[in-house]
Amino acid sequence: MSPTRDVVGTSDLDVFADTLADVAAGRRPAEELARLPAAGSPAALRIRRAYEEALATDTAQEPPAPHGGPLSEPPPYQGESVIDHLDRLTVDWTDFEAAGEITRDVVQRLADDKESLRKLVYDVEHKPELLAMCERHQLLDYIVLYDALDRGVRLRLHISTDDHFDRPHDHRFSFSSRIVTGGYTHTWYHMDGDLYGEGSDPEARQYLNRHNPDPRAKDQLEKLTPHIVRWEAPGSCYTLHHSAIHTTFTTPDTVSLFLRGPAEKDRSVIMDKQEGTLWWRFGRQDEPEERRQQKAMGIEAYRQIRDRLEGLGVI
Amino acid sequence: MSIETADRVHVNNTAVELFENVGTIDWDDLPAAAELTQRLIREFAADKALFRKLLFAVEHDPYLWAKCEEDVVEDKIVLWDDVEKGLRIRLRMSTDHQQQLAHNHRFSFTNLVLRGTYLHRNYVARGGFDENTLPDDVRPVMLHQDRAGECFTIHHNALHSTPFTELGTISLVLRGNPVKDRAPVMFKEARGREEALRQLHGDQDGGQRGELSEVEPEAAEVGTMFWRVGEDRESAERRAERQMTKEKYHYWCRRLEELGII
Repeated sequence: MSPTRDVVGTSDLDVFADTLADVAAGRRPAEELARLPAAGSPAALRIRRAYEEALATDTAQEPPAPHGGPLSEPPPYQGESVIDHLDRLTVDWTDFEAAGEITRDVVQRLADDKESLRKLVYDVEHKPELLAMCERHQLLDYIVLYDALDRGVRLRLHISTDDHFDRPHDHRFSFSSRIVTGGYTHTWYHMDGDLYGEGSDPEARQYLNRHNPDPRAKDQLEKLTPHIVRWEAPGSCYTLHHSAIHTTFTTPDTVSLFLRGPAEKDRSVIMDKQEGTLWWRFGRQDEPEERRQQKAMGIEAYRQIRDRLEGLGVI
Repeated sequence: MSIETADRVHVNNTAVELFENVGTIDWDDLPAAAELTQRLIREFAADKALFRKLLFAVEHDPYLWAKCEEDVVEDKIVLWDDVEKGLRIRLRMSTDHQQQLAHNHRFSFTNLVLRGTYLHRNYVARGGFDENTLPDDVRPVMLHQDRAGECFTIHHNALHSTPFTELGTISLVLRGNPVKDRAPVMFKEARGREEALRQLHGDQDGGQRGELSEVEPEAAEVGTMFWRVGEDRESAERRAERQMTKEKYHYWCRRLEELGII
């Protein structure tokens, strides 16, 4: 049924006719039945009955193949847990819209499935390959819950630290995020011009932290204009392209699920608005050993964070 | 009577305590405007007695009534307009399925979703967004599920789409004053596909856009563009065509009451 037909200038019979047209076209969303007006004319009752029968047939049989093509994929999650679904999921991030739809669905479902989330968090203790990827940063800690980047999926749980700064940044990868608890002011920026120029920039590797910003990047922060400001509360869910520059100005104890795709560039940028400086972040494989050790979480911190997650009621 | 005078008459006729201590909103400072206007719009929506009072007063206020519109896929009711403060409040209600229309605005604004949910897309346009932009130049970089109760503040130059695709989606908008005469809109999805294709095939100029229309089309192919303009750029005939009917307004008053919004 076309949305908003409950609005104006449309009779009950029009709504039934519209529904019937959907049935004829093979579209039968179950909730549509509840939207049908409670009209009692013989024609209305006949149409309602026809729709109910069509729905019953649908649940008993496979849906018809549209236009005679192959049968569509079964709907995800039928009779399987979110973790089972992750095991057979492949996400093609070159199609940003489609990848966003798939991955927002995963983080939404996992946020609502505390049992699966708890299992994923606890399993990290026995999965050294995941534990080795968990990191501590100035603004957030993260636990890597699931890693299949060859299939376009790496799932992390982000936990804010007690430091909260407004630091515009982008990412090396696109991702979907779902706020579980807490919240943050989320700002998306427009940037005049392109920070990345011709792509690879070996010199950028010298400027890896706020104490050693990139001296070549003066005045870049003046090119930023905030274009959207919103408060992301528990339940908020979005997908961000790796090129988007944003800030997440957190409150204490903010936890979010974060499902990222593969890296699409070798570095990402982070800026300090107050200082007017910027520096770069590289992937683990491109970082000096000292930096890797500095941000590694380790088992003790992981257990402390896990306890904190339990205390917050997240797991 | 000038529009500005009419605006003062409207504002002075109705005392609204919530807005009394609000100074001129600096929409150029978007983070500060966001903090202020998101609080205001939430407090306004939560104060059902005030919401109701302003909604029911609209038909008796010629200044506001002239701004209430029926568009191709949505209706608008303007509830409050203080030009001096840069504070206009209006309702946006979908009346048909909405397509993905990438656009920016003549003004910055804050939006609170009152009912329904939709996918909010923010785009970046390669080489800027104007009448020469091609559909593939406009790519989404943020996809946000906007749900009832969620609020955002957006800069007038931000390129986005908020297609109300779910039955009965309603938003409350708190907007600033316009800072440009018109703003471009591009169809990222076709509207009335068959009709649009017929128009396209009948088009003799080989796909050149030429001068964009200042009227929203009822049928459009992907890439079709038009301008959204302010009422001051519209002819009297066009204003009359868009003017909301009293019947529709009364329908919305009843509907908003039934939904518990007022």
